[in-house]
Amino acid sequence: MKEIDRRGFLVRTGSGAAAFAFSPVLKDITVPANRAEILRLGVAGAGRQGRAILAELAKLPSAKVVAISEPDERRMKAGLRRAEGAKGYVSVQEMISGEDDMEAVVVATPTHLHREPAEAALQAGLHVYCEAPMCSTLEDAQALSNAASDAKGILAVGLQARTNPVYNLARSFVRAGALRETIALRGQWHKKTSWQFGTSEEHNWRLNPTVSLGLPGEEGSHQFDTFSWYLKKKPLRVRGTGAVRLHQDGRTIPDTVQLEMEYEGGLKLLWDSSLASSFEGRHELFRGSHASVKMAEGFGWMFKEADAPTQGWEVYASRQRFHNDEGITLIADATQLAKQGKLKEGIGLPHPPIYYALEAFIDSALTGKPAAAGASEGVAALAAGIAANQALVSDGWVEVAR
Amino acid sequence: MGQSRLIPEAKEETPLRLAVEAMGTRFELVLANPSAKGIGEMAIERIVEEDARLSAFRRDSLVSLINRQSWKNPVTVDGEFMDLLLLCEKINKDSNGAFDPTIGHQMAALGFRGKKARQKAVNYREGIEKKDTAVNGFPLLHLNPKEGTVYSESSDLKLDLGAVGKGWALDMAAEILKAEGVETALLHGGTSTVVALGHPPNNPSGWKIKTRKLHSGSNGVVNLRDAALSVSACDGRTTKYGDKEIGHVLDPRSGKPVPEPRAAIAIANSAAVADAWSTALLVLGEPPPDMPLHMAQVSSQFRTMHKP
Repeated sequence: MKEIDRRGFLVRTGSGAAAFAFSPVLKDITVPANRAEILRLGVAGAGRQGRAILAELAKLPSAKVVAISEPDERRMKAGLRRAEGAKGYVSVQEMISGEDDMEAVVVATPTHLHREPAEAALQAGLHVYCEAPMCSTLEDAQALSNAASDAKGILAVGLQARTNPVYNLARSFVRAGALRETIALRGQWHKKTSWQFGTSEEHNWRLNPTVSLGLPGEEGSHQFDTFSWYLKKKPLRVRGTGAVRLHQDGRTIPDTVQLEMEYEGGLKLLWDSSLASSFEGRHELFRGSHASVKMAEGFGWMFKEADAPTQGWEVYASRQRFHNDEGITLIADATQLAKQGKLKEGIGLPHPPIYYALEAFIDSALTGKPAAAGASEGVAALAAGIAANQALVSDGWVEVAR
Repeated sequence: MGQSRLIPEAKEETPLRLAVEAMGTRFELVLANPSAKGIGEMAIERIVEEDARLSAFRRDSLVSLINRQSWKNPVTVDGEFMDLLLLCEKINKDSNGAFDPTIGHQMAALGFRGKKARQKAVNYREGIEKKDTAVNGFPLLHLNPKEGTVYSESSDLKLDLGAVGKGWALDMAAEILKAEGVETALLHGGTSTVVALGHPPNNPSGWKIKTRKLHSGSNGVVNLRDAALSVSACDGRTTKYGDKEIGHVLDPRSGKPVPEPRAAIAIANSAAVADAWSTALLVLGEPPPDMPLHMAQVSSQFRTMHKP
C-alpha cells in the first residue's frame, strides 16, 4: 500500500489553490491564502445530520475533526466511524473543556437544543456553525445572537442556499433582472417519511409540539430565507392550514401543510409541504414575466418566455424538458466547461450543499471573512418559520416578528 | 448483480413492509413487529444515505468525487467509507482479482452506463475482440487508512461499487435495527441481496428464501437466519454484443464479459461480503478453497442468457 498524504501532496504540488481549480463551482468562494492551515473542529450531535456533516468535513483538506459530543452511544459509535482519530464526549461542555486545541464547533443537535452548545462554544472563544433553524424560539435565537456579538469567534447559521454555488448563480440572474417583473413565488418540501426516527422521545422530537417547529419551521424556514435573500425583501405575514393526512399515529403535528406568505411589496409565496408524498421533492420557483427560475438543491433551471430578450449565454446552454417547458440548465462555471466541451458534466453540484456551507464557514473562521449567513439572517429565517407554524393553528394572518 | 428473485415466503401474521428506491433498484424491509416502524424508517433512511454516498450516477457522491479527482491528487474520505474500500481491497485480493470494483469505465464501454456510453461501446467492443484488455485495476487504487486518503494511479480507473454497494447499505441498515433491539426482520435490495435477522415465528430455522436451484438436489429454498445471502447471475441486465446478448458481469481479469451463463449464491455474516463474493464466484466459476463464507455455490446450468 503506497502511503500518500493529501495535505502533503498539496504542499508538494505548489498550492491548495491549484487543487481547488479542479472543482468547477468554487469561483465565489475565496481560497484562504495559506491552505495548509487547518481548522480543528468538534461536532455536537451525531444523528443523521451530524453524520452527513462528518462525511463532508472528511473531504475538506482544511478541516480536522478532533472530537464529537453525543449522548447516544449508538450514534456516537456511528459518528466516530466517520471521523478517524476523533475523541468522543457525552456532552458539549465536556468536549469544550477536554479539547484545548479545538477552534470551532459544528452544532447538529435537535433544533431546540442548539442554543446551549452554540452559546457555550462562543463563550469559550470558539467559532460556531449552527444548523438552521437557528433555535426553536426567538428568545433562544436572540440570546445566541447576543452571545455572538460579544464573542471572539464567528457564528455561521446553516442557511445553505446562501453558500450553494448554483443558488448564487441563479440569484445573480434574478438580481440582474432576468425575470423582469417577479409576479409570484412558489415553494415546496415533499418527502415520504413518517418523521419517526427510532422509538425514543428524544429522537422523535420533530413530532413533539412543545419543541418542534413543524414542517414550516424545520424545513420551510430554509426556503423562506432563500426567497428573502433573492428578493431582498422580508416576509411580512403568513396564513395557512395543516392536517394529518396520512400518518394517523396519534400525532398532532400536521404531516401536510399549505401556506401563503406575503413579502414586502405584496409579493406572495405559496408553499406546501408533505410527509405523505415525495412528488417533486424540494424546490423553489420564482415566476417572472420574462422568465421563471426553479431551484432544487444541487440543480437550477431558467424557463424563458418567448418574448424575453436573448442574453447570449443561453445559446450554449444545456437544456432539459419538463413536459411542455424547456429549462435552461444553470451551471456554476458554464463558460469554462463549455470551452472544454463538458457542459453536461457540470449539471448538478459536485458536492452536496452542506459541503459548501461548511467550506464557507471554515474559510470565514480561518480568514475572518464574515459568515455567509450570520445571526441576523438566522433570526429572520426563524421568525418566518415560527410565524408560519403558528399560522397553522390561527385564524387569518399571522405577522412575522421583526 | 443480476435480478435473481429472492422472495420471502408469506408469514402467518401481516408484517410491516417499508420500501425505498435506491441504487437503481427497490429496497424493502419486512419487520415482524409493526410497532417498530420508527426504527424501520431509520434503517430505510440509512439506505438512502448510502445511495447518495456510493452512487456512480450522482455527481455529488463520494464515488464520483474519487473518479473525478483521485488521479489528480489524493481524495480524503471518512473512516466509514474507507472501511468499505478496505473490504473491497481484501475481497479483490482473496478472489485473485475476480472481484474488482474499479471497472466502471469498462462497464460504461459495454453499454451499461447510459446512452452516451452505449455509443462508445461499439469501438470498445471492437478493441476487446482484437486484444486482451486484462485489467485488475484495484491495485492501482492506493488506500491510506491512516490519512484517510484514496489515490488512483490512472485516470482510466473508475470506481463502481455496484457489486458491493447494495450489500453495504443493507449491512448499515441492519446494524441500526440490531442496535435498536429489533430481533426479527428481513431486508433485501433488488431481490438479489438479502439480510435475515432472527427467524419468523412460524419457522425457527430462519426466513425461507426462494432462490435458484443451483443443483439437481436443491429445492431452491434456503433457510436464512442471522446471515446474509446474495445471488448473482449474468442474465439480469443484458446488452447486445455482436449477434449475441451478453450479461452485465465482467471478468476484470480479462476485461471481457463472463463467457458462459452462470449463477452464484454466497452466504456470509455480512451482506457486503456476500454481495461481492457472489459476483466474484460468478467470474471464478467455482469457489476458491479458503473462501470465508458459510455457503458458496456456482452453477452454469442456466442457459437463458445467450439467446439463439
